[in-house]
Amino acid sequence: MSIIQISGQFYQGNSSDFQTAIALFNCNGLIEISSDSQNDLIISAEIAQVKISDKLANTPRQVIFNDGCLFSFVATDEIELWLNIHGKKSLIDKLEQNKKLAFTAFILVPTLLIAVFKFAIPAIAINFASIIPQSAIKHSSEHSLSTLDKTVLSASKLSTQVRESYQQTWKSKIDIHFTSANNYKILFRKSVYFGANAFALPDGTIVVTDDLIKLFDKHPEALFAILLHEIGHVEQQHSMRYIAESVATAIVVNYLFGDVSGMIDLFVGSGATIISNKFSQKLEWEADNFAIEALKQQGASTESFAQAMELLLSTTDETALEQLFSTHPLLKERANNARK
Amino acid sequence: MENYSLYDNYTLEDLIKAKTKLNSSSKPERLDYLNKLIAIKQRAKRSSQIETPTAHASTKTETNKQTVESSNTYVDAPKHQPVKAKSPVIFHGKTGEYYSIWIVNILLSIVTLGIYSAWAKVRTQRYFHANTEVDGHRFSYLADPIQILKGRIIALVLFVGFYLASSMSAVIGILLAVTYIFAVPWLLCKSLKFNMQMIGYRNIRFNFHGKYMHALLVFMVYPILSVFTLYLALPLVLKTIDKFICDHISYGDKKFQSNLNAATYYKASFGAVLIGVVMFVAAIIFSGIEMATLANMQQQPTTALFPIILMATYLAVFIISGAFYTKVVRNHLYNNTQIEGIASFNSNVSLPSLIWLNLSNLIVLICTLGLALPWVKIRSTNFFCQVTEVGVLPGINAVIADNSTGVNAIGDEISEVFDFDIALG
Repeated sequence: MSIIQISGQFYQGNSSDFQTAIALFNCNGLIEISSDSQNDLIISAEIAQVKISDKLANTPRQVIFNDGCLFSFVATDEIELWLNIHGKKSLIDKLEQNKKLAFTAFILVPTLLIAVFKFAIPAIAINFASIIPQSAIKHSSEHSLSTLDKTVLSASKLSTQVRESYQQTWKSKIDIHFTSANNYKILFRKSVYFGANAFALPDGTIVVTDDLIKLFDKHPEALFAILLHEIGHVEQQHSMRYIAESVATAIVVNYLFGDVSGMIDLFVGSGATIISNKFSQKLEWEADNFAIEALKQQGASTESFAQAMELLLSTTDETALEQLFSTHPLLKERANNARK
Repeated sequence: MENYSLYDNYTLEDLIKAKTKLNSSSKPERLDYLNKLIAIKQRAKRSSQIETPTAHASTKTETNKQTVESSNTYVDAPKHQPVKAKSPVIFHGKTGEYYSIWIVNILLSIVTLGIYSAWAKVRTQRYFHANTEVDGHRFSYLADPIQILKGRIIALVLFVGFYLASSMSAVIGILLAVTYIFAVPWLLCKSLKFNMQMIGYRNIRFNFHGKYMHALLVFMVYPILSVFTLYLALPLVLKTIDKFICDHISYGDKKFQSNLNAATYYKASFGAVLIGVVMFVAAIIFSGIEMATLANMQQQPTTALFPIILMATYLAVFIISGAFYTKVVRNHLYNNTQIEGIASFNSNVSLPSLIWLNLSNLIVLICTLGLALPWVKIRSTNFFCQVTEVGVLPGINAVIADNSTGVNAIGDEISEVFDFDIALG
């Protein structure tokens, strides 16, 4: 193979000055740079002594010498071959230039992403939830409740009598069916923010709002179905799973699509929210099915669950579009699921 | 896009001749391309007439001698204020090329459980920098992936720890929040320093010299104080932030200097808010009328329509107000920033074209479920390059390297994972 010659720009290491220059790539691996006007040798070095930037599409290649001088040039096929022979193969570039791979990846990448979000992350989350010690869960729950008490919750306006009668009925029902380590504790709170609602903390504390009690005044069976749903969250460690899933989603989205700005950022951000909501909705379905199974085991009708959903629906409106940006599935669908 | 490489060897006169012969109605794209080429050649001609070193592909061969001569002349007489040569910012990136890089990046990142993401970041940054040309020279991105990987691992451990700790205990949560306030300015400085040092031009690196105490004032104290002015002082704070960043960037041994005007920031901020308010009011009135009409027509008034209108309005405000702010501030920032004796900058963003860019980008992203991301990125970069010019002064040949390198990627990676990255314009 003969000597290959190419022109490019030669930059000093310590100043922004430059000159156009000619590089000679010799077959013994020597690179010589000389000024193109006088043909004076500026610098020469063995290929082992210089750094050469990896091939990246059609961007100029850079030869960086020990003293910081730099020669920048657009490589020809001949030079790429020369670099290959002298041990500067770029595997990544090979992959990037592979048209078949680029085409396959168009299908493969979305499939892999679905697999990551649908299977890998939930699996990690379940493992994560199971290793969290009970003491940490208790600590975390107490912390959450005290924060909520200081912000959006206030003391219940229901009479002690009413509260105690509810608690007693529920306790006997729950104790019969759940002998797990979770110590269920039901609390009543008034909240404008939550409206008619109930939620569970991971240590088994379940908070029921006054509005919910009022709304379900004539439907104690439906109210208990809601309680079973909350117990489902606790039994299946949904809080910890959701935390793990949210963090993992944020990290994956950030590292795969993070270096963006403007409109893309908005798009990627909304995408992450939608994925996170999908996780939340999936957990809601799990809790629903847990409640439905529990009702069946107790020999009770699952109709009470459907009724509960419809009662909640009567207080709000819901559209199909909202489903995308909501943490819960549509109430209509949840009612239908109970009637299946 | 068609391939017009046949014009590559034409001279300016040839191009003008070709343009007169072209049937503009049948080939509008080709006409656009010709106009662009003519503009570039005219600029090149102008700059070579005043003996400023330029090395566009077209004039490369003949400029070498001039460069050496002219740089000598100007180094001898630096006080001589020479005429500026405006140089366009040319972006050579292509969607097809970038698509391959992007998809391989994601594929390998997934397969290697995220480890490759550090290499992916470097390749992406390299692609965009190495394809950006000013005055015949490309930028370069010089970060080492291993350095980024180390930063990423540390940032991840911190991020997960932070998230878990703050959900476990109220005291730790508050403690971490306070640490966060004091850490953010430090991290932003480190992040800017890293990002600047990784960019090279003509084998000279950029740098950032902002100090922690100053950053604490600018990024935390002033914004908190502006709350007490009912945010009326916020535009002033935004100006101070931009000025802090700008004035602490250097190219080699030469500092950037900006001369920013608070009035422009007030115009940009209040204008953006005003546009938002007007649009929301219009949307509410419109949906009110709509519902009243439906009620009159004996139809069931659907409240379902309202959230949709509200969401569409929110998006429209985000796009239009955002574009307005960017247009006003970016143009002002570029037009009033310079490196004395080295370069001045010029930005000429027009509002309708920026709105169109953002709107069409968003629509395309939604319709393709994000697969058009490479196209959107290339197109956006192209847009911002085209509206930017650099006035290159002869001092550009005599910038001395500032050898105070040696920042790690940890600060930058932490900023990234906590999502408080900062960018100018």
